Amino acid sequence: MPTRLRLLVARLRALLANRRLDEEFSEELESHITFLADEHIARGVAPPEARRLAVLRVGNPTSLRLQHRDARSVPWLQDLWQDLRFAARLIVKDRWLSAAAVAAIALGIGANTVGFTIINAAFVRGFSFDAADRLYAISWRHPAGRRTPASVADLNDWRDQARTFSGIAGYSFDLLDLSDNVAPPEQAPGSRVTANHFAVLRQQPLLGRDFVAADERRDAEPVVIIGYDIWKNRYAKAADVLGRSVRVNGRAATIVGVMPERMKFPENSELWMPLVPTDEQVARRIRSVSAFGRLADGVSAEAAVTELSGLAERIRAANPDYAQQVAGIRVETFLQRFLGGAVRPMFITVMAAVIFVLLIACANVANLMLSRSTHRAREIAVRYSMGATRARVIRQLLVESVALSAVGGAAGLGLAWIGVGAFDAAIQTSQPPYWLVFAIDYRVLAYVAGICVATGILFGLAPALHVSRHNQNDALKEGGRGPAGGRRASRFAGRLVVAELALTVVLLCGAGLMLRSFLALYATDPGFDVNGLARMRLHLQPSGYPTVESRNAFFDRLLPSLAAVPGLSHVAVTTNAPPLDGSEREIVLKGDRQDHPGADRPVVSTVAITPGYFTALGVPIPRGRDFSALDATASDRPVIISAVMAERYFPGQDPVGDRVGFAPDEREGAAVGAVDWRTIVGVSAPFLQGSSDEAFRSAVVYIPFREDTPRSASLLVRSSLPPAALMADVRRAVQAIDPDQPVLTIQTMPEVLAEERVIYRIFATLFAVLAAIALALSSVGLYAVMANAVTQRTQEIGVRMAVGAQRWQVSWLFLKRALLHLLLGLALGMPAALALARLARFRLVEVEPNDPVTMVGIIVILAAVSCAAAVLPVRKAARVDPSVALRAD
Amino acid sequence: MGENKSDILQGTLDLMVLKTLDAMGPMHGFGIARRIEQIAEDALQINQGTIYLCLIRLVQQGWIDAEWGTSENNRRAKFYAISKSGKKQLAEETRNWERVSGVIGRVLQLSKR
Repeated sequence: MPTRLRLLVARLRALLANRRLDEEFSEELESHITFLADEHIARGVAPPEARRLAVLRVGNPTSLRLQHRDARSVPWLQDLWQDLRFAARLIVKDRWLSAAAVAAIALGIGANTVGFTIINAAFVRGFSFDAADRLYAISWRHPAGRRTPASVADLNDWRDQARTFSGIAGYSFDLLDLSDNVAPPEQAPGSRVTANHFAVLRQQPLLGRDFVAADERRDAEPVVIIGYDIWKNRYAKAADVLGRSVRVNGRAATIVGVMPERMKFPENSELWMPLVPTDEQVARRIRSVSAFGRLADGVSAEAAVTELSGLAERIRAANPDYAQQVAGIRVETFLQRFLGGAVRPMFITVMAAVIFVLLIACANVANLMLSRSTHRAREIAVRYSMGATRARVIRQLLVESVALSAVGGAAGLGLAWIGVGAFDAAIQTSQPPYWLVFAIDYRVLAYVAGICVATGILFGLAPALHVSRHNQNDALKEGGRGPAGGRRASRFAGRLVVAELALTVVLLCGAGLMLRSFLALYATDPGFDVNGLARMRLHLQPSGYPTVESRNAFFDRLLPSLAAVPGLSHVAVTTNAPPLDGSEREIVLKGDRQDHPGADRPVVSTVAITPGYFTALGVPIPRGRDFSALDATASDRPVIISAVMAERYFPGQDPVGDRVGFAPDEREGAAVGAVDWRTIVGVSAPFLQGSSDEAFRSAVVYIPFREDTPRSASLLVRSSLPPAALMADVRRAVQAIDPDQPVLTIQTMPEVLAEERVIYRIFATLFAVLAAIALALSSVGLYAVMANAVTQRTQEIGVRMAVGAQRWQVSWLFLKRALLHLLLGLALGMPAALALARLARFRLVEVEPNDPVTMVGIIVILAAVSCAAAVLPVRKAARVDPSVALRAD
Repeated sequence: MGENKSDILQGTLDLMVLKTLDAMGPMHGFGIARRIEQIAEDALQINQGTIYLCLIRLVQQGWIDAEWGTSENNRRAKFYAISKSGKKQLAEETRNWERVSGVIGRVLQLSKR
């Protein structure tokens, strides 16, 4: 191998020193010729004749020089260099055409790069852990299909018995209160994790140590590992943070480690404590641990699923409760587990859309190249007659188009950089998972490089094949405008435009539907009066408020003092302010068999509210009544249900006075207790409160807040005060009761609604931008093809006019063609668009996939833009002066 | 097919050049060409210039070294000399050649019978 490497190096060096080596070789040849000539002269031949004979014997010096060049260097590289230089000259020469092509490619590649960056963040980059693709999330499968956490005992069984995993860890996510003498107490998302949590992830701490098995023991000194953000913001990156004593949820713990930046697994954790199991957890009565494991080397995921399913069956067989509550095991990759269900198809749709945009750009540039290469027929004919092969000509043309796409790609990368920045800034407002990082990394750069070459070949190949097929004799004879070739070219160009228009229809359809659902979402009457309504979040410290009674006492003092604030008209406390809903629970209806386990029970969401919640929102209660202060302790356990709930489960009836039961919640402690029966005392008017998957229209059961006053609550306040003043007043009222109690930032209700809709806004905007690019590209494409056709047929128009054709007839000749393209584009694009829209209905809200308004809108927009694009060339055709045209070349 | 023929020729020419340089010591291109012609006795009719295509290849492979110098009749010329690795290559090529020509010879003998 070293010989070959040495040869390559020598040849590359020879390539660089081409001129010097040429000269040296000439000198060597010259000396050879002189030696030969000397011999002839010695034999008595006259010097000029001697030299002639010598040259004859040695061979043609020019040809030898070329052969020598090929022998000593890398011929194809040399040719490539030559082609590139030629291409560069051509790009500069046709600068307007090049600029148009570069602009189209830049838009196409720019959009495509943004799309790939999104895909890259979600599906390629993913989690930053070492060999993250070997990490699998493990959970029980509920009979209804959803994930159910494991108990500590389950986790231990899996860990001890599973051979297919090199390690299995678990965590339970929580909000943890952190306090010390350094800064005011704060609440941070945190996790209690098994000691091997970080080891299974293969995540080293930035400072200090990882958890060790001893930390899990009940008598162990409590320890905590803090996240980078807390270290930076709370402790100003102090080096001596290790060993400090802090209080977590009011109990002393020692900081033993700091995690690096951007490590917040699971969820967006910023604090980690060892999971010290309680008796109940060990005894399988509480299932609250999310498990994950790392596959052992060489083990397939299928093998792991098989083994875990076997272990799960054994656990189910040994525990009668389990047999009813869980149906089996769920093993998923981290991406499947942690990338939200709706986000995934959304990202894939974006990728599909940007591929369409790139294809449209390619068709456009192919047309430009085609129009130029028709003019170049003569040059190519000369190349052929000089002995170039067809492959050589095609290669030269491809080098040109790849060079062009490289320039476009560089510009596109610039556009993508801006686009990715804008997308990232927008998406950050929707609080994405910490590991989704939208950035242009080396993978994106490699992708761009690849796509540049692919694009260049894609838009260059068809024109190159077309032009190189030209009969060179025709081209030389007829001044580079062979009529047959011209017609074939324009037919091909027409097909490209039809394809562009069809793709544009699909994109317009996608964008149109997205925009429509976004607008519909905005236009939807939320059902409550958003003006003057604000939300403030409040998390009571567990140390200060350990019991329901203590929390009730806090709110008993807070609500009257808030009601006394001037300008504040209504106040209510809830677990979940609209449009979001609260935790889900399974319900049992009157006719249902009560012993029926899990599977098919309907699921509704629950929201705890204080009396006056609906009044504060401005939502009427058309049937029944609002809660009273006594309902929390009333023996008939009153609830209010939402309009959606009434319609879905009590159709055509008056549910007031009827009953609904909550199925025993297996998460809290299996099959303990029976169905929790409730009496419906009221039905609310329809308004937006629910899960975003159901467009905030879910079946909701409202329960009295004081039944089980939670630590986390939202204050819902209606007032005429500006938000800042209101915030100050509320804070004063809260801190008059408890000076240490923080109130989280105020949000007005329009802000809250906008936050919930931000994901729709981002994607609607993205699609609108993509569709606008597509529309612009395809209309420019149509314009170019029409203009080209008019130029090529000037002579024909002259003849037609000379024999009596009217201007309108000439116009119609071209307009007909533009309309044909448009109709074909619509005919091909519409069915595809409809089919895709049906696939993409996952994110459509309030809009059907075959929404007539969108469809008609697309046709009108496309027709208008196409006609505008065609109008200039058509007018030019109608204005042809026959006497000039007939004389034109 | 034409290419294959020239490949064989190229290989033999390489071998002949190496052998010549090994036997005669440093020589310029003209000398090498003349020497091979003499031995071949007109059996090998090639343009003398082709020898340089062979020489540059051998130089690049590191089997021979090249240096400008002055000839016996005081003319500037490039002199070529076989290198250490060139000698190794020559030995190997010679063995190869003998084996192949031996086999071919035996095969031809066989068909004659």
